Amino acid sequence: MIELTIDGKRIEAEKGMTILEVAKANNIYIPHLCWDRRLKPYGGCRLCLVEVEGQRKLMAACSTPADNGMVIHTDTPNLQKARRTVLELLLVHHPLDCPVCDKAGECRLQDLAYKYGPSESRFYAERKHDPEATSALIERNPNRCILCGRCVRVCWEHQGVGAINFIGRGFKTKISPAFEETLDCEFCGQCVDACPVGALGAKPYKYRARAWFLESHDSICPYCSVGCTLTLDLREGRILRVRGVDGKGVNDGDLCGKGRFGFDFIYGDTRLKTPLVRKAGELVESTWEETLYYVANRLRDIKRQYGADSIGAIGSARAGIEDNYMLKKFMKEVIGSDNIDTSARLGYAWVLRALNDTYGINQNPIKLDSPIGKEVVLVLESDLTSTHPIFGLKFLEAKNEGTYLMVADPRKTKLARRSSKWIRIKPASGTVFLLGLINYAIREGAHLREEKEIEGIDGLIESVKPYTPEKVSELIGVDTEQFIEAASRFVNAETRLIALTVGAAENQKGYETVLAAANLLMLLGEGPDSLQVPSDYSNTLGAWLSGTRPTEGGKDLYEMLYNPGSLKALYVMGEDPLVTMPDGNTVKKTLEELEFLVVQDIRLSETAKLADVVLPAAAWSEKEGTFINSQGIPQPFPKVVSPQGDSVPDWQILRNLARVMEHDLGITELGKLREELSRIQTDRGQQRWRFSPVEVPSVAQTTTDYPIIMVTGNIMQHSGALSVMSKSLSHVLSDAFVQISPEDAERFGVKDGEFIKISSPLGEVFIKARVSDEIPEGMLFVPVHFAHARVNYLVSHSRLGNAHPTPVKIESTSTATPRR
Amino acid sequence: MTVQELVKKVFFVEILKGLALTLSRLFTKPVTRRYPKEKRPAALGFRGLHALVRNPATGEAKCVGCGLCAAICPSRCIYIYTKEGPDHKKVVERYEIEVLRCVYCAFCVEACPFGAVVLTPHYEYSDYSRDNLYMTKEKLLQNWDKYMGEEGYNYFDKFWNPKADHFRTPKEQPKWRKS
Repeated sequence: MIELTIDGKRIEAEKGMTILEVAKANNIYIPHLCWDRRLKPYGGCRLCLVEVEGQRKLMAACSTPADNGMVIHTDTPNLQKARRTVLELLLVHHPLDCPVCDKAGECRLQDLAYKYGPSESRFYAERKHDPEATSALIERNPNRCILCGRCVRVCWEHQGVGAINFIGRGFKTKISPAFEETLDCEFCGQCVDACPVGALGAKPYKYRARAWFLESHDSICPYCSVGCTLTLDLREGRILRVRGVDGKGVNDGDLCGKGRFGFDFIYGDTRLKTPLVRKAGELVESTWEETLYYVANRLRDIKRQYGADSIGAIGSARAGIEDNYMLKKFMKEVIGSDNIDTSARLGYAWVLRALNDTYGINQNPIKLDSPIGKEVVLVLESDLTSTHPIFGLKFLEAKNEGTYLMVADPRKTKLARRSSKWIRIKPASGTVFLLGLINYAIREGAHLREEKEIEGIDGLIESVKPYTPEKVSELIGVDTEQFIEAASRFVNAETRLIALTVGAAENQKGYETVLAAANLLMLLGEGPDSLQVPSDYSNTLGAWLSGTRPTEGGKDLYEMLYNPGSLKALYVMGEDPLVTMPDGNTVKKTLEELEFLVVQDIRLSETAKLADVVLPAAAWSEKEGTFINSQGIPQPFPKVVSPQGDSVPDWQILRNLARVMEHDLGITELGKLREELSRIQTDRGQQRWRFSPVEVPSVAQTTTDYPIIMVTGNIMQHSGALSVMSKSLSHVLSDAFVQISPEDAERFGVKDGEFIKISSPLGEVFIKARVSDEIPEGMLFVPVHFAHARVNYLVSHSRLGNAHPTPVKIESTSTATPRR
Repeated sequence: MTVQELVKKVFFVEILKGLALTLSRLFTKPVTRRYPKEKRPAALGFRGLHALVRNPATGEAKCVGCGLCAAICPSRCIYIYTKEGPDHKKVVERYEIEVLRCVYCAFCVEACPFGAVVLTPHYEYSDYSRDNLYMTKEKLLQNWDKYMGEEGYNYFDKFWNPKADHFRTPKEQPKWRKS
């Protein structure tokens, strides 16, 4: 602890804090432009000058460490004069185009010039006339730039991208992407929020409104399960932009591209506005009254004819817990069936099962800050910065603070690029890698270090016997030495963490991967906190916790979708199984064999096109609701815009349907529903450690017919099948592609940008190829978000939740059918 | 009651005094204006119907859509919608004033950094329909042509002294001054 005086106030502070940080903590105002809480001190703008007694020069508060006994003045005539001069110098080049600048009204430079500056400058120089640089989502106006470098630093230090930097010298200095090309980055938009002036702006917001026309509401992001708080800026009932505000929500001001630009999916062209009913093979518009009576009659008939067990329902990982709970209640009380499930069955359910088989717990909420301060962090075949971007940032932050970040991934993901050690394993060999680590740990005698006796240790030792370092390094395709070095670092660390994602979209990991990770951690004496597996989507965990799953022996998602003929009627709420679930052929067959399919969604999805009745639901922010994020925090979000057309919140549709079926669910308003929800008890389970030997399933191997492994996954700008509705995100990426390594491209005669035919035993698709060195030889990577790509028709499903990478064959279309 | 007061009451002195004034007015020039036929000229800076100033150089509205008028408007009766036009310039898509809600404070005129909005001396615009008094950008530009026209610039510059000039880049380096 040190003691210093600022403006006559005696203040205690931690050693190592800068003067600016101390002042901020004590509500003393020091102007600044280039300082950012998340970044290292830079001292570029010279506005935070303070007077320190005993020092001849003025000191920059942002980069001077506070010291014991310092006497600091933050507002003296001398300082006022200095700040005025600094502002005058900043304004030499800064154009006074505030009337057309979108930043006006919330511009830091404008505020400071108003506070300190003179109305006229003593200096005059030719203003810059560089053209505006546009890109898909971010607009750069180099003339307005004051070269504070916040965008450059936030992009590199915080976001780990480094898409822009300073170019040129002296008066000609400017911020630009490499070689002054068009900005082509991941479009997270963090630089836009960081810019204190109007040099960087979001293109969708450009010239749409002035800052003072906007009203702000806080909401929760509908995309991934991190559950970031978004600050929505609305004008006249339309969301115009989204900001992350420092100190708000779990994200603390950070946002990814999906959160910042993806909000406009609610204004998508494919939104449903009226109920649709299939008449003579065509979906025709109808009224709510007619539709609900029709649905009620059909459901009643099917129940009478085939029994309640022939009716199933699929909940949504994107709808609020209220909606999912209502669906469960509807199925239970009105239909009398327990056939209900969500997409969590194909991802998070495996994780929970693996955790139950090892640690004995039923829930393992992640902690966002968990990687920070760990000695070694292992990220296993997961692109966390894409699937859970804000969680991914914490790994970069940990790395910056000295954590050894180990990434085992065939793809050169962002984390792999920024890692301390990147182990390029073969696709879908993550489980084997973990088993090799277990084997190594046992050899090292790690299991003897702990005094605690854990059940099943002998079985584990027996099961990992074959996975010697030599064998494993051959299986995962790395040098034995490299593997042993990594293993020794991981096993001998003081603290460690394993992070991965498991989901329906990803086919290279599964139940056994989590099981192996849990076994390894238990062996090393680590609790479940060291295993961080986030749930997929905004409300995957919420749907699970609110009971949207079979609880009394009903059919789960597998039996409903991959068993054609087992159901007669299906009620799908906010899910698009035809696009998001593997093995599209079987899913399609199941859906086609149904007698009655009701789809309740915000848009006409692929599944809805097969439905007998399509009900329009209100989207996120058109209704109130609650998401439970992967940390297990229930976060309510408000209604801020009016629903499109005749769409109605999901839970209200179900309430109305129940009324039409002459059932009173006892729920008239959201408050009652929430009250019932609050009474749900969740059993977290008692920790009871036991080893559960991992059986590596016989993963489909490449053959001469199908020589290359296809891995599916998520990409940075999209999430599930929802984000493709967003026009902004589609500006960045709207077409499906397959990534192929340069070696394979050479081998199969594939050119960059051409369509290639990918076929697996289950089917064939045509996708555009992108040759990329992110991918190793022998692997294809395909994002799953695009319905028209039908990638999921190639992938097999896995009932036991095992990894199921798909061996495929690729053919260049230009060689198959030569172009003339 | 004194005798004097009694006399005043009995002989209606006060009333006669008043009537004397009436009588005298019979022989002077009337002050009444025969309004619809005879119009009173508005004083300099009269706050009448709104108009958007036409830029003599381009023939378009001077307004750039900065929204300061809407921000300062105490009755919140100005609506501005802008968008990105061709060659990435800011374009004012709609500029609307709900005249019936205006309180004629002319803050909008004072706030405008470009001298693009003005209250004209025209004051005869009562109507039977609210819609006719909802001013769109086209109507406001027509108002300028009708009620201000050429002499409008003169009048406007003299009286309102718009701040637009203050934003212009100086032609020469200003002389150094000791502060």
